[in-house]
Amino acid sequence: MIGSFTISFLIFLAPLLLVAAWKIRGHSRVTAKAELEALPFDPAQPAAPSIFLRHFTQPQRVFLTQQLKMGAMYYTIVCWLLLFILSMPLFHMPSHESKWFNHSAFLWYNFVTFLPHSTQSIFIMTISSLVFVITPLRIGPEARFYRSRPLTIRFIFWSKLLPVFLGILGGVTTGMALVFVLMLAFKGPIWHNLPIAIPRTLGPDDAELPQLYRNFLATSVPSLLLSILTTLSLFFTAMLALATIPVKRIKAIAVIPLVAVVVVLGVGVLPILSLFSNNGHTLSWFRTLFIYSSLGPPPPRLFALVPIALSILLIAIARIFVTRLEV
Amino acid sequence: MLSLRISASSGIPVYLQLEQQIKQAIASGLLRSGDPLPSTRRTAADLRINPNTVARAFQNLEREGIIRTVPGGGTFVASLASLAPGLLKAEKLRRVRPIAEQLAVEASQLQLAPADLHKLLDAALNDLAKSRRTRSSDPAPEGDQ
Amino acid sequence: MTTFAIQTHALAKIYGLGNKKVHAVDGLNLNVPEGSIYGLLGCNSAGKTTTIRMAMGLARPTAGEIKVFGLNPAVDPERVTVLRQVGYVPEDKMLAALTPRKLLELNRSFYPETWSDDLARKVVKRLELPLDTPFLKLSLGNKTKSALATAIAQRSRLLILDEPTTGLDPIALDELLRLLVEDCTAEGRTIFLSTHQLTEIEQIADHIGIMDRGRILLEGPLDDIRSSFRRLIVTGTALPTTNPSILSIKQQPHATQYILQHSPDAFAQNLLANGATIVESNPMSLNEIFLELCRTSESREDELAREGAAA
Repeated sequence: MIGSFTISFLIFLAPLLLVAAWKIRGHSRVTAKAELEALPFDPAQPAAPSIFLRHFTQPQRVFLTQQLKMGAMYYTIVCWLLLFILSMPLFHMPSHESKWFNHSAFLWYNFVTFLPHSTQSIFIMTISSLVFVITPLRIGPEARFYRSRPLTIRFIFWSKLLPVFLGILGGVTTGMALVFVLMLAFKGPIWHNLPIAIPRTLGPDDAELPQLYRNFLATSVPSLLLSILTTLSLFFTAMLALATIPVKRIKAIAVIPLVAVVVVLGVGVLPILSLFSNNGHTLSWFRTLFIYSSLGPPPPRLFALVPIALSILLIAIARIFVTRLEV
Repeated sequence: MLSLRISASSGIPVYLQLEQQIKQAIASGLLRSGDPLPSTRRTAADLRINPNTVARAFQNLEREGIIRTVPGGGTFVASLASLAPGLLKAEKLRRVRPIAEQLAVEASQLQLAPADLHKLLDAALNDLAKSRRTRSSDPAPEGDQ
Repeated sequence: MTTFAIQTHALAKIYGLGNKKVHAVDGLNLNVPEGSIYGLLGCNSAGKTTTIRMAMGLARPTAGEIKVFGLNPAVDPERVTVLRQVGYVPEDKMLAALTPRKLLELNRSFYPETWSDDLARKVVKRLELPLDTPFLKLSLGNKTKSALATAIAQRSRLLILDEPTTGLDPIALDELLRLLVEDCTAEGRTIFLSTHQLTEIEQIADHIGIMDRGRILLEGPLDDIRSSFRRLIVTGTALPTTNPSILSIKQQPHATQYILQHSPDAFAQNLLANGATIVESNPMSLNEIFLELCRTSESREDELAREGAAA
């Protein structure tokens, strides 16, 4: 099991590493050549702006293009991440098949339980986006540079926030949609016509199985997706608000303990969540925040409005903080 | 061509140093009537000093008729033949007084006798005349006579 | 009517809380005329960088006000109008791009109305800036040169330089002075620089301000300041000890040394009229004026502290 996991992980990393290696190699070759040639400063004229970007001033265009590229990068990586993890059950089956009775049900069960694993990786990606995109709002030479160019603080804030935030959320949605398409293409709509009850005789080790299966049938994948999006949103905006609290100018190195805490929270999101959910009876505040993390019936969809409203509030708070920030 | 050396921390205002050195250059024949001077900006850049300072020095020199600016650009050493009679003796003395006073202060601090000081001045004038004569056959520029 | 590139009025910036409050800037009244080269000097922890950061809108005043071209640099949209016209070399010379070339290319797009590629090339050549060395491999001097090239090529109406000489060798320093005079003062542009290099300031500045502990000790045209200060060594009896002209007095074995801070001629005449002898009378270099002012200010603070403790 471990061996096959390592292989799958490597297959996941492979394209990312290849692209990264290719870019780094190309870049260092260009740099070495440039150092040798010592060409004078002769910048290319900027290309004509696209329709969308034409409405912005040139300084705004430059900054926004950078942030959009970051957003696109996160979108692609998160999409690939989800696609990879969730399509694993389609092509690689864990060996508990004997416990199960129905191929479709087993496949669907694996799909549903792989979602939490993907959540963990998405949280790690989100943390990286907070470090590389959000903290440069206030810390480091990049922050000082952009804060002393003619860009409004409002513009800097939204340009940094929206592309990467929507990129991650969009990546999750697209990834899942693509997986569904794949599933439909290869296996057909397996979530239809699942047996209502376990059609085989239950043995002594199958005590929890009926309850597990009932929870399994009650699991709603659309609600899972919604919950992932809203929880991610809540986490991201909470960290955003934290990152922009206007305290006295912080040196980059003092941020490391704070980042460590955030990393632990994000990486450990699964164990932390499982700590709180005892046997599928989720805590009431998980329900209020629409955190749907285990098999069973979902919280009412209306509760999804809670984390959405909180996220909007946190973004508003961060927006106010950012104006008072000293860089 | 014209080598000026300014010391910003010597205590003598920089514009005054500039004026004195340009006058010195004219007096010793390094600069002649009609010679062009570099622009204010160029002079300031070459000496690494503030352009306003150079402008002030040039303005003073122009007011005294030692240099003239041509409309359309260019600063030149004025024709000195026209200079001397144009300036009253009192004006000339007024200009030289600060240097004389400084000399007097220094001399009294060092407790030099006035006679020694006079000898020093005569020697300096002789050296100047000598260096002028050893230069080309061009007519010597006007000095204080 | 002089306009001011930068002007502050009772500006204050306080960090920390309670007993640990630090008054980085404390009632600062700074006046930088447009078209001048203004040198900001400071005794220890004077608050120069804090003031500059407030001029750039990177920090907000706790009290008082600061105006750049008559606008508030901390609040949009005036802030953007200010930043469009200001070139900035910060105290921290870390690069915001991978190489100096990339930094120049990046900054170029932010100032399309005023940026000059020719000037960028000129600065790069004169300062001998290696364009393609990755910033991790750059020496401190080269980092400073990158920041300078980036800011100078903007041809801004106001150039703010915070310690622009860090790590520069004497040749680069000399070239920098030449560039500043040649290319950064045309069209009534202003240069505001904060530095410890007093000799260089004395050469190119026409206005200076001396800060100590967050406020101005002395400010004004450099020529006026230089002519107001004088060192006198005097012998005589019943020499005056208090007089608004006197900055400090030092008793030597056979004479008294006065450091005068204004109207030195009048004071000297007065001494002579009362029968004293002036043994020596020397002008003071900016360095000497600065050191003397800082020393006097410090001893005054110590005296106040002692009085406060004794009370």
